[in-house]
Amino acid sequence: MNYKMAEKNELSFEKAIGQLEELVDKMESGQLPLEKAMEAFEKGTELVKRCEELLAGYEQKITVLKREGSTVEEAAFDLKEEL
Amino acid sequence: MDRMTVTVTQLNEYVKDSLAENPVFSDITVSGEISGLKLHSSGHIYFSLKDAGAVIRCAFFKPQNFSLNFKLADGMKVLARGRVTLYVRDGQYQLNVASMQKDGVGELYLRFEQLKAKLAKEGLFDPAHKRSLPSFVKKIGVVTSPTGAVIRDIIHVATRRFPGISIVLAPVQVQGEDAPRSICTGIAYLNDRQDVDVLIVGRGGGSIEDLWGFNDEAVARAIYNSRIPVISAVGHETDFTIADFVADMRAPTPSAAAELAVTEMSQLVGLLERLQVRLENNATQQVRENHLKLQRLSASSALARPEMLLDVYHQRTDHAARRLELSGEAVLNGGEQHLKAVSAKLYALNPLAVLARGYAVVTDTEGINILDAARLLPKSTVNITFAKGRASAQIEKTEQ
Repeated sequence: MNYKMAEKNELSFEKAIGQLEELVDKMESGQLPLEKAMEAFEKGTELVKRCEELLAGYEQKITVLKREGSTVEEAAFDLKEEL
Repeated sequence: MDRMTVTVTQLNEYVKDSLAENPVFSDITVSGEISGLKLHSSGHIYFSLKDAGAVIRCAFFKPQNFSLNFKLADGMKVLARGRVTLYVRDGQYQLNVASMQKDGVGELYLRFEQLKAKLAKEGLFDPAHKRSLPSFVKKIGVVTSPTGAVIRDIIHVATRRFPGISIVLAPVQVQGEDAPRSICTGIAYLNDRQDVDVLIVGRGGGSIEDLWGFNDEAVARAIYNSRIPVISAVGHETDFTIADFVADMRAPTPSAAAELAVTEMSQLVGLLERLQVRLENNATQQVRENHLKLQRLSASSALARPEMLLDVYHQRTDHAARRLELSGEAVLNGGEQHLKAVSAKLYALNPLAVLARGYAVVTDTEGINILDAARLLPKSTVNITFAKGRASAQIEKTEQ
């Protein structure tokens, strides 16, 4: 169970939402026995939480690539400054 | 001598009229290179147009030459439209120019069509090769000028749609000789990164010469070979460059490019909410259905009155006992007494009960019971079974 939890924390948004959609489809197909359906519900709720966390966590970053000699660096990009 | 003799004037007039009569010469466009350019103080312009094998004199008089919107220079390739005429006075044959344009543009359009055909044949524009944009984008790479409206519009639209978006700008030359190499480098650097989900490559509006960098073959191949999907946003809505044909998606403006690239936050949140609702609805429904099932089962008679099951077995036992009783001689009353009497009888008939009274069973070596002593020969072996244990014995003698 712990291993599965760790796996979930690694999930990217696209993967998590993909899994969630698959899960909901499976539940709605009516093929799952009651116990499996409850397990799916639990997992689904965890995935929703994970997606919401991810969405809220993204921080806006606007950068510009600058060549420093032979290397390329990344610096904050100031729109006003450049204009 | 019968030959007609004409004067010089007559000859020149005749040639001039011949030229004037021919409609081809009254409106013709000539392409060539300017040489010997003279801008006369009168305001008239004189020059020669030449190519590899010939030259013709040209005059571009005012006020016609007021329409000229570029600077003339020796060596420049031009298209001159006008009338071919002969001047009687000096016998000079020349082109009286009515309008002029740079032939550079014509040449560019030709090169554009040629490259487009070549790359199309190679399959660079093939729809099957175009990748779909990722459904969730958290980092955009942009290849454009660091100044100007393009990057500004992209930033505004992208951050408005998804506040958590990240943008990496690869600043490049978007026109001039260095543009193709610069654009290719920008695309390469962004492709080297692992965190960029989609690229926007573009520049603002301009002439065909301004946009020419995006018609470059190397740029086209860089876009085609890009590991990351590319949205092109070059020039105005009506401009189509080779980059637009190769890209995975073409946007008419930089703002449209940002809209294509970035999914709105509200849409993502809405999607999650809908999925959650479906989860909960389904789970509730499942529980309800199973509850109903249980109710139905417990209402059924088998579970409601389990003692009913035993009743059946009681009945069966009674039947069996009755049948036993009927095979016997005594007719007794009551169920259990019946059984007792019948089982007592059975016991009496039981061979083991006979042995218990002291009798023994004698069998031959085949295991068959001996009933007649005459069957036995002296010295033959018999087996004897007692109530407890067995023995084998040898016959000494028999008698009747």
